[in-house]
Amino acid sequence: MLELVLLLTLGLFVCQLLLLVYLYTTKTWAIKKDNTANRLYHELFPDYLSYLTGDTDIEPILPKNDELKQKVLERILSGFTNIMTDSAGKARIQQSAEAHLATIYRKKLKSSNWSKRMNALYLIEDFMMLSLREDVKEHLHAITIIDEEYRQTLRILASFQEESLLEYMFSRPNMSIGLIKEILRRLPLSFLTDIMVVLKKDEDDVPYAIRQAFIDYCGESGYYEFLPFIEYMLTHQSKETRIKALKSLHQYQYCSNPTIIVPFFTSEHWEERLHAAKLTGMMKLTEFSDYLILLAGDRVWWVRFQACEALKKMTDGEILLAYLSEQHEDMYAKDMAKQTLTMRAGGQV
Amino acid sequence: MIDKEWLSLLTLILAVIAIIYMVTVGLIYLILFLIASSRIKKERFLNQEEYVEELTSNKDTFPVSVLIPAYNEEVGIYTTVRSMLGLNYPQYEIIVIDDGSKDNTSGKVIEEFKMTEIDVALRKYFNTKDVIKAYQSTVHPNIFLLRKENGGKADALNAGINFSRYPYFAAVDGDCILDHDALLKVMKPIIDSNGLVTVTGGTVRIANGSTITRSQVEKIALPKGPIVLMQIIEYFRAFLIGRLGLSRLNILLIISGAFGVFEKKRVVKVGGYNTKTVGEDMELIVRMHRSIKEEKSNQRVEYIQDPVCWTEAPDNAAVLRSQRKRWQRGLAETIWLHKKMLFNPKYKGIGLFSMPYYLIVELLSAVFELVGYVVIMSGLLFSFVSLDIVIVMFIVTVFYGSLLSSLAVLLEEWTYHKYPDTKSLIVLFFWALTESFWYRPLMVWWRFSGLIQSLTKKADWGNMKRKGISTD
Repeated sequence: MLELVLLLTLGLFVCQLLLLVYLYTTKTWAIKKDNTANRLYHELFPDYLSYLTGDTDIEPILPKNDELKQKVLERILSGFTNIMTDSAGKARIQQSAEAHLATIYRKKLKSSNWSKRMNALYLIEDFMMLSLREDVKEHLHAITIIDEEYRQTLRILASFQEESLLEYMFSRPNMSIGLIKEILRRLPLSFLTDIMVVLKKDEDDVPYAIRQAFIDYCGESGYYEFLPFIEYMLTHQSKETRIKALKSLHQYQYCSNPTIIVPFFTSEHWEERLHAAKLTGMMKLTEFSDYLILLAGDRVWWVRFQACEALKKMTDGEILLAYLSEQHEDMYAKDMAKQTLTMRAGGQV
Repeated sequence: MIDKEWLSLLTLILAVIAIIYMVTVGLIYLILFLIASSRIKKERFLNQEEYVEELTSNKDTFPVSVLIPAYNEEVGIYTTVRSMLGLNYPQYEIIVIDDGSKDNTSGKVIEEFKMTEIDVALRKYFNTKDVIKAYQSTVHPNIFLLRKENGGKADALNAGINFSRYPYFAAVDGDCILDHDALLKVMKPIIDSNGLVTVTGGTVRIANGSTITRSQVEKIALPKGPIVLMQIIEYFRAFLIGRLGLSRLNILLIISGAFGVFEKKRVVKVGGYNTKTVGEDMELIVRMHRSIKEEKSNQRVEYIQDPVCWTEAPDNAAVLRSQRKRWQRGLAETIWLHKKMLFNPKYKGIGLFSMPYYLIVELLSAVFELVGYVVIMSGLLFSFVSLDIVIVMFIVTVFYGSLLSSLAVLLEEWTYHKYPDTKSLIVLFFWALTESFWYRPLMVWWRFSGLIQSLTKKADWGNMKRKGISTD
């Protein structure tokens, strides 16, 4: 028994000692590597600044060690990616990345370490490394778990304007609306037009999430080419689709014929009444003020809130709200009008 | 003589029970460590900025109402609200709820953020103590202040939910500072899962010793006092092993009251915060799990290891004692309120593992460990049990505390590696080794007292005297 206890004590001691040695050595190495990378970064940065801004055509010489080269170059190029706006500068970033990082990233995509694959995927998109298009496509088919890796791979293909992507999306009914919108944001107008054509021709061929995401994104993008289609969607049989279309119009801050929203003021669905009120305020449609006054006493708090917010946006809004706060027959409407009068607008900090 | 034999036998039985208990608990913790470490190892080298970059410009990132309940927080409230203003998040509002403070909490907020009174058409999801006045900042229109009658932290949070406009809310303590990207990181699983994740909680870290200027963490360093140092290690272990491990199994029952994000719809559905317990944060999560399981929904409660909320830890024994007694009371009350879930297969992992785990490991460990200490002492003093048994118990106790704390230090280094030198790691490691000899016995005694107190005391805020964690 005592031997066992002694053995346990010794085992415990060795475990802790090994753990301490491991922590100490890895931390020391990490600090040393970081310091070297920092020093090189500061040395190379001024030369790269001249190169990427086009002051010189001579690219600075990078360290031979792959790990160090990757670390320093990624830091320099990432910094410039965020601030470089001209196409020549962007092309140089892309060129440098392709020349020094493509082979490294190709290898990283096959790595068993998830973080390393992810970091490579993020930067492939940031640096627009088109030479890796086939590798990324191959990578997409190798992914078995729907996680951030899957989402980022799709984002890259969208950024690369990969043509096979639409067909891929149409064959995946379980994609989320959020992810589809992330893809749509990266696609050119021609791809979006193709989606609309299919939706018009036979919407049953298109997964529900793509329809909803597309309607939503049209307003967000502000492409007026799609406005008639969105207005047409207001007559759709699905309530969710009509609400998405109303939200989309709200983002456009416009609709060609305001009378099309009138039926929604008296809709049985409160979300439709709410969005109709919101759109009226956004477009300052004073001719619909009476509807808003009616909705200020709606049974749903959110509709009352939105109706009063919409009234406030009208030229005579404050007068109307002051009148409502005194004269409206509904107590809730009075309270809401008072709140709207005293509360400043502001959706963002 | 016979009495002595009986006493010796009884002590031996108690010793064996305590050893079995400690070994089992140690093994559970080791298993949780293995589960947690695989996730931490997976994300160890991830570029965190790139990970959340998409969300910063994404119009689908849900807006969030940040609720800050405050009671006598005049020292820290300005710092906390100012740290919220620096959050990297597309759309959010900040609502400070002054729960009838006796100091100048409201005055401080009104003055610093140039607030004016507003009329409110309050929506009532829950009944709360009366809201006396509401204010809005003239400088930052999305900062609000509610002044209400005192009703406790849970009541303040319920009033904040009533007032909030957005579909998700973050509950943040009035003495905390959030990292720049904390809200983005904690919202990411909710957004990516398309609403399948209903609650997320972030890591809470101790700010004592670090340099925080103008509500931003500038330099992370260790404090000098051993009491705070041990709490730092304890937090690593609780968050990086306990919570992450349980979260991966979707059986996590605690999201820290200091920083958590909730889907408002689900919270409203379960009736909001319970005003009759001091453990309102845990009680709410248990009720949410209960509702999820009863609906047979596949929603999840997730802990995210990276988002960091900085808080000030007690730096003296008296305050730490009252904090730990309060936590123990909260835990006891929650388990008592939901005793029907214990060992109930209807609640799957929650009923069969999580609730028993919190009862036996987190709540009753104080009793088992106290028995262990008594056995060791009496064994040594009166030779009731053999020396071998005493040594085994001693080794098991050391193993239980020190090794797991050291492993937590390892996970910290894998997750954040924010301490800038090797010295900090060695200091943490050294103190982790000493845990079983002084800190753990203290905790055991305080938690045991808390357990006793849970039968008598009523709910209160249990605030400590703040020094403030940020300098201007």
